[in-house]
Amino acid sequence: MDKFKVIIVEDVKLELKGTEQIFRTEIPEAEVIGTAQNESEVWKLFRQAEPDLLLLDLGLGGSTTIGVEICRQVRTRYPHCHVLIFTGEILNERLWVEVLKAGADGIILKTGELLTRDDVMLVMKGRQLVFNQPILEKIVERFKNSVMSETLKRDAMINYDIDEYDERFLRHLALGYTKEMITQLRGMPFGTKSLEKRQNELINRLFPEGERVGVNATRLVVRALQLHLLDVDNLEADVE
Amino acid sequence: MRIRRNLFFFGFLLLLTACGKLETSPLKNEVDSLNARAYHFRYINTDSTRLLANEAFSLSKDYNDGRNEARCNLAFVAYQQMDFDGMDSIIDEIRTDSRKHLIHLCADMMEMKAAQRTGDGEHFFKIKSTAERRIRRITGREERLTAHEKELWTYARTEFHIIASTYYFYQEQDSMARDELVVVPYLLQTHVDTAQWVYYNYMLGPGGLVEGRNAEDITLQEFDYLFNAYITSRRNGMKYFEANCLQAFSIMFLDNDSLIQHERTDAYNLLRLQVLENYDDDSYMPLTLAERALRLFKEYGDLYQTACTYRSLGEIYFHKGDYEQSLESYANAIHCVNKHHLLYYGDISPDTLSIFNPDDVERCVENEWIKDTLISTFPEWIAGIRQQLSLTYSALGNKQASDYNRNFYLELVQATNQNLELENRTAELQHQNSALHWRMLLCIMLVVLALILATLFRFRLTRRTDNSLRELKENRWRALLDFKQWNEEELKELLESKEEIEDKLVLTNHDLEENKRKNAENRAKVSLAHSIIPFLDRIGGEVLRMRQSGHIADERRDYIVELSQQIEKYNALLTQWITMQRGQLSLHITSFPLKKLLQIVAEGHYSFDQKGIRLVVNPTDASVKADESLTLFMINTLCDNARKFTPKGGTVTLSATYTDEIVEVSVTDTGCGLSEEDVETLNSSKVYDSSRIGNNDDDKGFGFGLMNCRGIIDKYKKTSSFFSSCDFGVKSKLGQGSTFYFRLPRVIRMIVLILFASVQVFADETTDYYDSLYIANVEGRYEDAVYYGGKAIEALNKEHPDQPPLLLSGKIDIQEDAPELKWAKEGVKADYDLIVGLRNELSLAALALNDWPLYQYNNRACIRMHRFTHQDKELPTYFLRLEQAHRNSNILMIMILIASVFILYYGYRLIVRTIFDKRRDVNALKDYLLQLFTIARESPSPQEFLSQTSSYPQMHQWARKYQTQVADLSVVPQYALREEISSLSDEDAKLNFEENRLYVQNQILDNCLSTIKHESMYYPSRIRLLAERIEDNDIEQLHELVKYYHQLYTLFCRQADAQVTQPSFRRQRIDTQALSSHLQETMTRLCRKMNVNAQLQIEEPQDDSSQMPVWADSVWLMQLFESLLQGMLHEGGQYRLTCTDDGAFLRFTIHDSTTCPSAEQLDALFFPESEQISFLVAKQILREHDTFMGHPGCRLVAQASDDGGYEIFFTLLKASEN
Repeated sequence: MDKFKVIIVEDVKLELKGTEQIFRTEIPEAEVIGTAQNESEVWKLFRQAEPDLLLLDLGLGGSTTIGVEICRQVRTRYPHCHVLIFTGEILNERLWVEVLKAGADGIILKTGELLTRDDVMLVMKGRQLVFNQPILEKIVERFKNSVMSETLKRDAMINYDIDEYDERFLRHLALGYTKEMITQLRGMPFGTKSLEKRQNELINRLFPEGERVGVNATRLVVRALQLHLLDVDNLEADVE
Repeated sequence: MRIRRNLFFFGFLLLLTACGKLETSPLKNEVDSLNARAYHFRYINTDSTRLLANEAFSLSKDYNDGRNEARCNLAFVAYQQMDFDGMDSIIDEIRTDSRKHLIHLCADMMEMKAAQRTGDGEHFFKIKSTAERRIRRITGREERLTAHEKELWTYARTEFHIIASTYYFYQEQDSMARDELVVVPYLLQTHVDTAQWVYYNYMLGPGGLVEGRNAEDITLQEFDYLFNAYITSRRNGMKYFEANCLQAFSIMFLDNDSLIQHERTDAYNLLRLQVLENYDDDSYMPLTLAERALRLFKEYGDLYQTACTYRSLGEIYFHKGDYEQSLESYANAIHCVNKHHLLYYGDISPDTLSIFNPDDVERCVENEWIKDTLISTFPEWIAGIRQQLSLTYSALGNKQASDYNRNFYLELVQATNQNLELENRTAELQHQNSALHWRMLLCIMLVVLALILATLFRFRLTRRTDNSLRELKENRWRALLDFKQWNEEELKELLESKEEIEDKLVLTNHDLEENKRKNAENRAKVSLAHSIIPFLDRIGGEVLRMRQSGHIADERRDYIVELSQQIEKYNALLTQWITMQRGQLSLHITSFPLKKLLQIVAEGHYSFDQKGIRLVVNPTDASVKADESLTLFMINTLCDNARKFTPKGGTVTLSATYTDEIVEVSVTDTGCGLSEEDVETLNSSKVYDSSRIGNNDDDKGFGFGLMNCRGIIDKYKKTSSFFSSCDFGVKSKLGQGSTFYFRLPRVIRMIVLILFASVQVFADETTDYYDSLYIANVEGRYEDAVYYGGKAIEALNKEHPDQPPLLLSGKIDIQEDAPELKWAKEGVKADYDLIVGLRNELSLAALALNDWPLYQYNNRACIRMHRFTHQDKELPTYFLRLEQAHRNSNILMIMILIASVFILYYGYRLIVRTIFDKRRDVNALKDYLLQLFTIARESPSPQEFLSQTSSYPQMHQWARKYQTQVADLSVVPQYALREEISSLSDEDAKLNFEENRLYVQNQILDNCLSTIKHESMYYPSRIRLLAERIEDNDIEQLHELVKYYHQLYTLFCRQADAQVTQPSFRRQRIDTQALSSHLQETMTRLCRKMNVNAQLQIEEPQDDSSQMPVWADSVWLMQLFESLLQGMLHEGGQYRLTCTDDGAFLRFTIHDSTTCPSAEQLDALFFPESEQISFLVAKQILREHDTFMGHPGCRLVAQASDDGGYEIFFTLLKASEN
């Protein structure tokens, strides 16, 4: 592997020390051409020499999310420079998404194995979405949840015998349509009366006996959401 | 006598010849003299009077008074001859010719005489009132009268009273008749008029007009008067009076001859001597007297009196029992009547009366005469004759003729009654007339009085109205003032409560701010604690690598040591920080009833219901001394836990039990329960991995709630020994549910209505007897009839035991009324018609039985009663007429009154109405105002107020005005204030809630941080020590240690994180320009606090974009500035604050030109290494802004500036319009 130039952006000195040590001991190909503890130093370094890799901590000094901005600017100004995020923001998942949007090649959480040669090398090889174990675990967990919820929805559709019309009826109810408005939808061959009947049937299906009394449209829709019959993220009206 | 008269006559003629050619004045005297003589002959010889009067008349062509006086004398002659029509024409001549009142008065006398005799009462009274008027007129001018005129005057006045008396006498109004005569002697004192004097004495003679001790006394007195009259008239040749007197004597002697013979022997003897020339028997006295009278009347030529005398003769014969002679006398009387009739009215009605006409029983000729207005006749005259005829026929046994005459008699009574009525009516009319005059006068007086009263009333009314107006106005004013006062008080009160709430809000805000600032600090602390974790990770990483390589690189060892030292440093800083703020975060210990908190939990039963769990909250009256917010937090935490771990259908019970000292709040669930080990762990350990508690793998994971609860209880314990009895624990058995409880010190609190009118059955008894009497009469059983009559009278007497008893028969007493008449006059209730009938039947029976005393008594009683009841009977109609007349006059008066009242009314209405209107208006206004006030006091909304008060019917201008005023002054501001207070209260409640939450969060964070501090402090040094002396075989030990420490630390941090993830950040749009004054204040405060002198210069923004508002949390923004300034502040510092545009952000730069830290210092400024807590807080605040504003990229940078100083800037997201 050819040598490559690295700029480390880390605001905590002691941590910088550790990171440098990792490069030194484990990734000898990497040539640390500069370290920066604040934003202005980063740009100063960039002006001196353009690195192949930017190891970027998200928080710098008082600015705890400035890394996202730096990443974005680097990505536009230095498109050839890889950006690997090395951060202690274990909990702030939103920042991960922000920084990925800003163009980061990967995110390494400062926990567990920390930075490994493999991860750095993958980035250098052009691999996108390089994550270390802890973040992968989190991502996979999220993925699992997402898949599970979709499965639940599908299962629920089958378990509660929800047909296409039921789904559309519930979805439009959730969107605030009145029954009269729903009857006006294309491909909804029902009148208000039969929609009411459908609603009562839905209540009987979705609620166990003893809980059906006083259930209104709102409660029905909430129940449908709870049972994943409706996807909150995909609540959209039929295209007319 | 005759010789004397002739001599007189010759003398007169001589005189007449001697004075034949006298001049006017002597002629006048002659006329006067002729008239005087004519007058003188009035009662002596009517022919002489006529001759002399005619002489006087012919002589007095140029002498008006003499002429008319002569006419008067002629009229007298006509009267005496009963030529009423002739008399009327003479009177008419006088009326047109004379202008002298005295002459008219004389004429009046004639008319009155005529009216009296014909029974024309109406006319009588009319003339009488005219005459009275004339007398009144002349009375004042008596001295102006000539001697001759004075004679006439005396005549006229005496005549007036005598005629009136005669009239009343025939009307049986004796007292009035008597009253009239009283003045006559006095009048005669001034001027001697023999004729009138005789007349006066004669009047008192036979009529019963004399008052006396007894009947005998009266008879004697009457005899005396009569004798006087007789002697004088006889002496003066007044045949008329002589005859009258004789006639009267004859009747008188019928009953009282012995009495008079005995008491007035001389007079009697004289009379006897003069009359009884040829008879020796005294019993012929009356008859002789009457015959003599008859002769004299015939000589005098008076038909009327002749007839009367025949009647007297009849009576005398009847008395003697000589019924045939009696009947003849009566027939002669009737003949006289017929003679008179035929003389004057023969051409009009040729029919004459007959004593008995069996062919035509029904026809009553005299009635026809009476009804014919052209015929003058004398009903009483005829009636008397008819009655006597009836008696006489009865005595002769001719029942048919008797009944014939009796019927006519009764009919005449009826007719005279009508006349009586007319007379009465005339009197009444007269009375009415004067009454009317009086009334008119009264009316005028009333009007005047009304005017006066009205004026007074008006004044009073005005005054009263003014008063009441004033009062009303005062009332209104008072009500207004009351209301204003109330309003002011209410407004004041509202303002006060508003201020109170505002104050409270300020306090709450302040508390909230404090808590928020503390929260920011705590968050910063948590961040500080978190910042250790990367180091721990690094150590872990190094150890991992050491384990992989199997050997210990010095470099790595040193690094581990260095890291652990750093951790120690950070820990130290955290400890320092926590210690520094100890006491600042104290508990709010108060006494409060638990009931309130349990209620709040009970209200949140919905979350339990949804899970199908029953929440039972047992009420309690216990009060505790503790921190209210934390206690609620603990109860909520325990309940939430119980809910989470209780399956559907289970029950969660919240209850509080207490002893004297402590209250134990417990939450019991019917969940799966806990193992002994878990119970042990929960009860003893401060720290445990909650995820390991529980039995079911799926249900694992008690949160930090229980740990937080324990932390709170521990905190109580640490605060004061008072809380030493506090405890927190769990009782549970696997499968049997759990009970979590905590104990707090208890506070013992003192707790703190027609009467039924009795049916007159007795009347029937009388009626029965009457009917029997009538039938007996019809059947001719007259004895029986009298018997029944007696019975009927007895029965009547029984009915009226209190009244003088009625008599069957008795002596007729002129003086006294019959008992039944007394009854009637006294208004005793009885059937008077029946009594009249009874008396009539009785008199018929008596007539048939020839029982004259019985007849006379009953007849008189009947007639009198009939007259009375007839009047009575006619009374209703009469009264109707009377009433109508009254009404008419009354109506007239009322109309006058009404008219005047109307004039008054309308006149005053204009004035008074305005007053009344004013008053009414003021009243209405008052009422309306009161209503307005009442409604306004109910604190309605302006809309409600307007809708409620606009329905008021009197929506005048002023009403609207007041409505608007009340609305503007009271309702609207009050409503606005109330709304404001209400929204402020809501705001306060909201802020309180937030403050509470922050407070609890801070307390818990505090606890967490304490735990971190206490529980993890020694690990870094152990790691460091181990690392320093590390051998190869120690690597595992180090690994284990680091791993445990990492886990433990992470656990603590997660407990804290659980709190921190609840955002406290509140995004607000903040106008940066408004911050400057606050900043200056902050600066001044900081300088004082830190005892330094420093200046802050805030520069005006350069461009518009620099002036845009930003998104920020106001409290934290100020805290950010404050923290930064605090961190930068030093003695003599010169600071400049600028605000510049930075893309999507706004950059705030604080520039310090006086000092410049090294680059290294600047880099480390926001790290724990700098040991500047304020910058850490600033960093945390910016971090919060970054995290919660949805747009990362906020900067907080410290850098050296060009001028040798340094600057710290931070950026905040601009608040775009949308």
